[in-house]
Amino acid sequence: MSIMLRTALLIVAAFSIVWIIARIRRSKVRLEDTLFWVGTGGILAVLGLFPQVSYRMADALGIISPANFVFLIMICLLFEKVLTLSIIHSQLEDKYVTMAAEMALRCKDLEEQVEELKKAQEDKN
Amino acid sequence: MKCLIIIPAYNEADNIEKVVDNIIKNYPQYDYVVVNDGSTDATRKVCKTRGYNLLELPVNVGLAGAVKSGIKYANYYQYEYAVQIDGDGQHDPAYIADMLEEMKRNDADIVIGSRFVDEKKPFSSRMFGSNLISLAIWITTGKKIRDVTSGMRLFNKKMIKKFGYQMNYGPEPDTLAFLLNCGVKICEVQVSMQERTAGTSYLTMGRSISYMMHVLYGILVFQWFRKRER
Repeated sequence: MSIMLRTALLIVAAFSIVWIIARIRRSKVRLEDTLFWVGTGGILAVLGLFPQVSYRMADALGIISPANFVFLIMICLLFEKVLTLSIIHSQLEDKYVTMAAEMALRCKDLEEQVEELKKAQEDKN
Repeated sequence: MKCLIIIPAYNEADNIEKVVDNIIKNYPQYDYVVVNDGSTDATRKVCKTRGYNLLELPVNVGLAGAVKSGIKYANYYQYEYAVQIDGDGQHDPAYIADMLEEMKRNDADIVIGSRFVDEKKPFSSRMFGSNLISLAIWITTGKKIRDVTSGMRLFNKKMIKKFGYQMNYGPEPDTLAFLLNCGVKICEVQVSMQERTAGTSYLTMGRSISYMMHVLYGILVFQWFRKRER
């Protein structure tokens, strides 16, 4: 693994951790959504600091170059993120449709009540 | 002195009547609000026909969101105290008086209705999780909370503002750990709880593991990144 790749890994790890901490300190992100980035930062930092890990794992998995193992890890991490985002997205879509329907129903209910009250008032007069 | 009982309810049609009727009949000194968290069963219908004070969420937002809505309600109608109890009837409102007294006596900000102040914890997988969280809180704050997962919590005005309007103030143990480190005073009062009689719990087996992971991450890692404020 070249020193350039290791430096790049460390920079990316440091950047993601510093960025997420800044977001947390300004209360801009929920706990649930930080776990992934702190974890990713941690994994990249380990890979950058201890290249032996990549060599061992590449060997065990039958990958010729340890750099390719690093890329594999990154693809896996991104894959996980895309998967969870896609699930969250579909849940949100469903929620928003439900919300629109519920709001419409309740508005209609209120409108009908207002109409009834108006009618009752008119009948009184 | 105004005290509001917040009852988050998700598919609690079988239990809610018993819980609310008990409050109306035996504890008229407290106001209450049922927060219907987008239930898909007859919860809304039961509350409507019985004329309960109901806050209707149009979609299911989860326990934390339901409690937050209830606390916002407490702030909106200017309650001094808000206490959260479960919609399944496992918390007895009789203990609220003890909790309020404890809050005044110790000038506490949060009082937890705890099963294990005087009594010992039984051995079970659930209690193992509870012990693990207790330990994490003790390591990070130096203080002991015996019943960390108790859903019966009393908040004062200061905490109502925080829990209702700030991010990452869910009604979970990691928030308690963070608040302890902020110098907030948390006390516990012995209560006894009944097992739920009908319906299913919020916390299913599958969610328990992810719950434990999130809470431990929140206590051991996340809270150190947060800005502390009194």
